[in-house]
Amino acid sequence: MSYRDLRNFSEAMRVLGFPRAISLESFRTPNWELVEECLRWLAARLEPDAVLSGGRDSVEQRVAMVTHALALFHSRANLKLNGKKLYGADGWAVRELLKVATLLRTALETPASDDTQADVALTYDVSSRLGEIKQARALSTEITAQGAFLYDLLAKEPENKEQRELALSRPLDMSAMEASLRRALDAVTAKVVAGREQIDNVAASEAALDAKLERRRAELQRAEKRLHTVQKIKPAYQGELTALEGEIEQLWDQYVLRYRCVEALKHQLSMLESAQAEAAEEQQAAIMQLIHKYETEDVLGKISDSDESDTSEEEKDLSEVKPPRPATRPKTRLRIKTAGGAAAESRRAFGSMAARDSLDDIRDDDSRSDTDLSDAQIYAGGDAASRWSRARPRPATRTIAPADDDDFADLIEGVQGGEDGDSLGSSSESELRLTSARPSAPTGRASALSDNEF
Amino acid sequence: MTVATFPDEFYPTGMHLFPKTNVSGTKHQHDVILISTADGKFHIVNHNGRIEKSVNAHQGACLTSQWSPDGAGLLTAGEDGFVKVWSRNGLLRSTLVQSDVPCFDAVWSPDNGAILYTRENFLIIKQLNSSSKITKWKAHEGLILRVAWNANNNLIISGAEDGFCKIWDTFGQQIAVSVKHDQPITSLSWSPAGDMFIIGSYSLIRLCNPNGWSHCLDRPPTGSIYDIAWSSDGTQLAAACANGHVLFAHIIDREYTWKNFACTQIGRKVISIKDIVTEQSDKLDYPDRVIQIALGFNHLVIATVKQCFIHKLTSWNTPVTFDLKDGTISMILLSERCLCVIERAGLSVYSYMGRLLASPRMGVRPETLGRAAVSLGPDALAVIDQGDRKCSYDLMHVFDLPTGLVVRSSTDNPVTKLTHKMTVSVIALCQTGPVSERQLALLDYNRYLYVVTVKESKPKFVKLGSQILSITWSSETELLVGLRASSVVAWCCPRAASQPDWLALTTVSKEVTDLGRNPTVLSVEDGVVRICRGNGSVLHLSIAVFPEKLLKHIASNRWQAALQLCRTVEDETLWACLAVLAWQYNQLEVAEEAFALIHQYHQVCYIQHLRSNVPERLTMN
Repeated sequence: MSYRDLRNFSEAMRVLGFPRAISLESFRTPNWELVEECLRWLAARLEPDAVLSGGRDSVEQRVAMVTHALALFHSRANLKLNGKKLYGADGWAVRELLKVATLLRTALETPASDDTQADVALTYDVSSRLGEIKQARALSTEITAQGAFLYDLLAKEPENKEQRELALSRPLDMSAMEASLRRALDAVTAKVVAGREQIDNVAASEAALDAKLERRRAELQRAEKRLHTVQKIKPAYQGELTALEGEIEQLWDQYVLRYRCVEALKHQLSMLESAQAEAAEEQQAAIMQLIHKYETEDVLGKISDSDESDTSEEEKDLSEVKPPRPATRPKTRLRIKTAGGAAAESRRAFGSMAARDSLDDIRDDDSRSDTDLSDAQIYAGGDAASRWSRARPRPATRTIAPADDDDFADLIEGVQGGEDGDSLGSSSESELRLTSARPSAPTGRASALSDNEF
Repeated sequence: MTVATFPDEFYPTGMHLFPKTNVSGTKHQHDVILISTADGKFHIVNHNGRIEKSVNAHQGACLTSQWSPDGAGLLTAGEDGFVKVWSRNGLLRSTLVQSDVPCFDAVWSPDNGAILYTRENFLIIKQLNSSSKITKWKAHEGLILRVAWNANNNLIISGAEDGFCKIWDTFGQQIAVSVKHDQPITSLSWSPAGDMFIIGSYSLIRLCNPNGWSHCLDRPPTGSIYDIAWSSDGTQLAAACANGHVLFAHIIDREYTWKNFACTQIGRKVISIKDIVTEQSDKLDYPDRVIQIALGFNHLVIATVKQCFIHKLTSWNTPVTFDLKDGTISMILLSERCLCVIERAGLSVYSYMGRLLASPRMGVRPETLGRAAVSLGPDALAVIDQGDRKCSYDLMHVFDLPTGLVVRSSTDNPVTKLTHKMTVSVIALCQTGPVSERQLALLDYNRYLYVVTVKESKPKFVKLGSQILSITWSSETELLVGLRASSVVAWCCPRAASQPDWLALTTVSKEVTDLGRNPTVLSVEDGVVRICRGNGSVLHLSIAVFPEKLLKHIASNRWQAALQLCRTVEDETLWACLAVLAWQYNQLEVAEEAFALIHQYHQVCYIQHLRSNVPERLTMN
């Protein structure tokens, strides 16, 4: 039995909020400490000011405590406990303690509902009930009015009493009564018949409603069926639409592929161009070096020649060719560095005029060294120009690009020819090309940058 | 409705319903209730409330009583410290334990061979047949009040007055500890499937995962919860409360996802389904409460108490419906072409049109089958037969399912029986491929992974690896994914296992840290693995995206596409997969290139020899 009591006791104490958990093993052996603690705690719950005397040290103290607790519970809670069992502090003591705990627990559970109702009554919101107050006022005035009315009626009571007694004392006429009863009976039967009829009507209307319902249901079913069939029908042009969609998708794929190819090719093209430009530049530089070398050699050779006093005609030719060179070369460089359209114009003027003249002269001539020299001069001008034009970015538009490329190829040919040192035609050609390529150069810088970016 | 009222001095301490077994001839014994009372007796009460037998069992209170799982006997434990075993009719068979401290709880082991009982703060497992084998361990700091032992995962939970709830295995090793509760744990219960358990304490009820973490917590104002019982389908539970109330609860908020669909149970009878791509969502209402949900293979299958609803995910408003044989459905498995419903009455396989395809029979009690013991392929069903636990080998049945439109009677489904020399814990059937090459992966008790081709005349168990915790086949290809303690392994061509070096080449492994305890692979889709970690979080891990794509190409016989993929990705594993598969499918040209790229030159030479010597039509057939 102790198992159930102990379980109930520990549950009750848990509900009451006892700070320690009571183990199911705790009262297997007499456990005075726990009994004392529970007693003190329960006593404090019953009577907050009560402090149980006695203690745990000696028998007398324990007895004193049990008796004090018994007296307290008896007086405050009308509970009779068995002191002997309580003193034993074992499973039986639990049963005694359980009485107190159950009392407290029921107390905890029952008034809870009352309290909540009282709370609700106390804390109502006045503002939301103004309507009710008005209603109550109207009711109270009505009550007084009714009271006054009642008073008036009561005042008439003496007269009415007389009349009533008169009416009561009148002898009863059986036939008249019977007639009146019959009338009443008829009225009632008529009412009953009317009621029956109404009931029948109800049944009829019910049937009508049912029929209506049935009809509606049938309609619904039909409509659903139609919906299904309509859903099943494939809309017109659906096949065409899907086919077109497929086609568009294919076309789009093609387009994307081609677009990507074009872009990739563009990119490769720009790469190629820049690579070629670099190669050309290097070659030009090499040629320049060679030319300078030849020039210096020639000058040295001429100095020695003049010392040896050559033919005056040659000298004259030389002097005719020489003067333009120092004058034009720095000028062209300078102008190209400033990079204006005018510079280009002037260069073209120079190129076509001076170089042609010199070429003509040279062609008339037959001395080898002079040809070399003039050649070198032309190249000095031409090389510088071509280098600049190459260093300048590529033209922006694609339509020009191929032409430019051809130029480039020619130029390279020309340069190679020049390196060999005797192809005058090609060199002049290159010069001409240069002039033709020039107009596009000034516009090219900015757009070429974007080209490189690509 | 009151069935019976017992006299006032009848104070029950525990009740247990007779276990429903499929043993014929004991039908009259069903619905018999065993009640233990505080006066030391136990009573056998029939279904209309008449006390059939009362036996004086213990001095003091009889604290617990339980039928054995096979229904052959019962045990009682009392305040006097005795644990006794009785026959079904209430005759004393033996007194197993005698001690001087009360035994607060005692339970049967799932196989009837042992009992687990509490003794103060110790848990003790005692074998019935040999008295020497006793496993005893100190489990808690306080007095142990409740224990429970689950048949499916063979785990033990214990709850004590110190406020802890602990999970143990049968060797007494601690698996998990709950958080500390303020009040003693007064009740515990495993769900029948073992996928969750519930803890009751003072005004507290908590649903937990077998890994120890908590699903949810509620604090009903009921006082201590003294006892909790699950419904046999594992979706409802009833709790006895100290203030005299009975609390009913229903498991909701179960969530399932598949590709772009997610469905959640939001009420007892309501399921919400959502298509994440099109933002379409809907609420599906059912006439009865929903027991099982399965989502996958373009279908949503819902089992209620009486019926089963099959929704197509393309039009989920018009389900196919069929009636269930028995109300207690424990599992639904899906595959590409059919679904398998596991009820207490047996296993049945239906098509997605709701037609019964087969109902295979075997000697196993269907409700004891766990998720790992059954596997459904598109045209086969494999089941582990645990009937003979004492033997050191395990039998597996593989049933062929009718695939055509011809309905055969359910008896002539050919069965293949496979025998493995160890206890098999997990099986999984491959989800694709022709019937004749159906592969079965299995994990045995030592955590070794084997693959076997079912239809071979002499099935050969090929070992793939060891220390594998969980396995899953990809739902669309022959990709097998396994989980090690700290890594995920994908076997791209399990058939390559016959050649160890090929196996090594076609295996992809990825290190994953902090998987936690007991992680599982949920699914594999397009090379992305979903792993449920020990703490319940789901990890998405991309491990074999390209191999899976390659396998798909090969499955649809697009060798050029496969080659192109390999050339683009330039991965050795991929080339190895291609090589092995091309070799198997006799695509010698492809195989030659692939073998050359994975440096298997002897194989290249061999193929060249074949191609030069053997006529073309022989190699290409």
